[in-house]
Amino acid sequence: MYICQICKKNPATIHLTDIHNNVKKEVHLCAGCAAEKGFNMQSAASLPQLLGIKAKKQSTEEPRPNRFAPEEDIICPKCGYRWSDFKNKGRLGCSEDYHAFREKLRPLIANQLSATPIGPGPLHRGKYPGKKSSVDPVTREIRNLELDLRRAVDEERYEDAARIKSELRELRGYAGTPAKAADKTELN
Amino acid sequence: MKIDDCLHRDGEWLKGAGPHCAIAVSTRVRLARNLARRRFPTHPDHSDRRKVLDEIKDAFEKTPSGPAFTWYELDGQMPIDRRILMERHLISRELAEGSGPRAVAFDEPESVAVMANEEDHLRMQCLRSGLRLREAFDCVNQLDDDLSGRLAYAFDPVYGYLTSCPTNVGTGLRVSVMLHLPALVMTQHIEKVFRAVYEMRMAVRGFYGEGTEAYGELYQISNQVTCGRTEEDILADMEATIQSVILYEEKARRELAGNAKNRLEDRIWRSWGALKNARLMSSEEAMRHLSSLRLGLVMGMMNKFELRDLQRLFLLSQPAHLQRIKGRELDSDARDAERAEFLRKRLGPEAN
Ligand SMILES: [Zn+2]
Ligand SMILES: [Zn+2]
Repeated sequence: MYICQICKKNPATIHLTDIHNNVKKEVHLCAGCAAEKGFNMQSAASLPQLLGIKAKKQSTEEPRPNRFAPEEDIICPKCGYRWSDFKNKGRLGCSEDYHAFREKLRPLIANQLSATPIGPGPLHRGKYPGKKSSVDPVTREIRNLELDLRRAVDEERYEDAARIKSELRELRGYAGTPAKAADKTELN
Repeated sequence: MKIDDCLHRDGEWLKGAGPHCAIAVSTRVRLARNLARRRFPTHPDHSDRRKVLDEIKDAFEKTPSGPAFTWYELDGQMPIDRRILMERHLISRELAEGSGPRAVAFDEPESVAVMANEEDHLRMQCLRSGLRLREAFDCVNQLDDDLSGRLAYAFDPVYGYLTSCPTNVGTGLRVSVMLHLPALVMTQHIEKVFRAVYEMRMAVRGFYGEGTEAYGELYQISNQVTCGRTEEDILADMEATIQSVILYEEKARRELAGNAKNRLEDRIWRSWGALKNARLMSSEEAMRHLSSLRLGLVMGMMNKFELRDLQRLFLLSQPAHLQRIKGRELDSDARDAERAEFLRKRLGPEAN
């Protein structure tokens, strides 16, 4: 089991690999040390960014707090866990911590490197307790066919690819989903 | 329940069946959930733990599938029994080596396992042999739906399902596929795979998950992003990435068979020789040779046994299983001797 390379104590849960001139570098961190380093854990940060070699421009939504300013500790009113405990252990104490520490946790969790940065609203896009999952069978079938198409093209089975494409066209018409730019170019 | 009952059956992931089973050994999908108003198991104050366990047990037994499960509390059990469950991929290392009230519930095919009081209150996983992401997800998702009516989950509309480590928040969904990639290792393309996988924001882990070594050229690829995307997006990304790694390994296998057939056959038959003759065999070496045999088998260069039998040897030559079969504790040297003998017998004269 990898131990966090910074605190040399907690199990690492964030693994980064960078390959440069055929040399593989790995960084393994616990969530606490990643937070300490200002690392956005829901995105793939590059090693230089993580190690602070090159300050990469983050999204413009909020200025980065001055890392060198002495930091105020925060205590969760519900369970007594502190922000410093989190940095120490890489784990939280109770679900209320997400509120108590929200100013610090949110930028860690926000997915800033995606094509569309997530604004101030909800970060969660998945299922809700008690609700059935939202995937309809047509969308699922489209996804499966897209994969089949890719495989057929990779394997140069062009007749199969043409058949899958026409099936896809039909299904997308049914679901009202626009074709992806990617599979337009694939067969050319 | 006696752990020995497990020894006589093959876990779901050992079946050596399912789509792309020549490369994709198994698929695992897990959901992390916590109970509202209870401290996470990672909180230093452990006074909630017993209550959490009882609440989960009670809710779980009332689900439609609950009665078919074995509920097994780990506290006070022998370390070797816990280790057997770990080797069977039913519990994590953290649960095996932890302390305090904690449990696992699993079904007879050893396909679904629910861990209670690991680093989250609930970790539900479904294992399937081969590449079967949707099937595994549907299974664990159904269990989650069944439980969510009976347990109040810690959930927040902004963050989603709240987990003790923020790297799991949101969907709480971790999908991992165990791939056998010997040809990419032999052709030295494996680093390119690591790079591509990393660019897709996924992680590569070893045989027993988080931070373990990739023995036997077995790699687990899993998603790192759990928040900000739907479950379906995460599954679709994983499926696409895994499919392309599989294609890449297939290509490397074709290349080896075309340009380096001698080298390939030499490796396979050398491993056969070692397994049939060695007097000492570490578990790492055993896995390396079994990996060669697996490759030879699925490439049609060897037909001495079924894939399923081979997969079983991967498991039975692990330290805890080996000691259990022998019926006593063995130190590391004795294990290496026992392992060598066990493998020689299993691949015995009738397999020649
Ligand atoms: Zn650390
Ligand atoms: Zn708290």
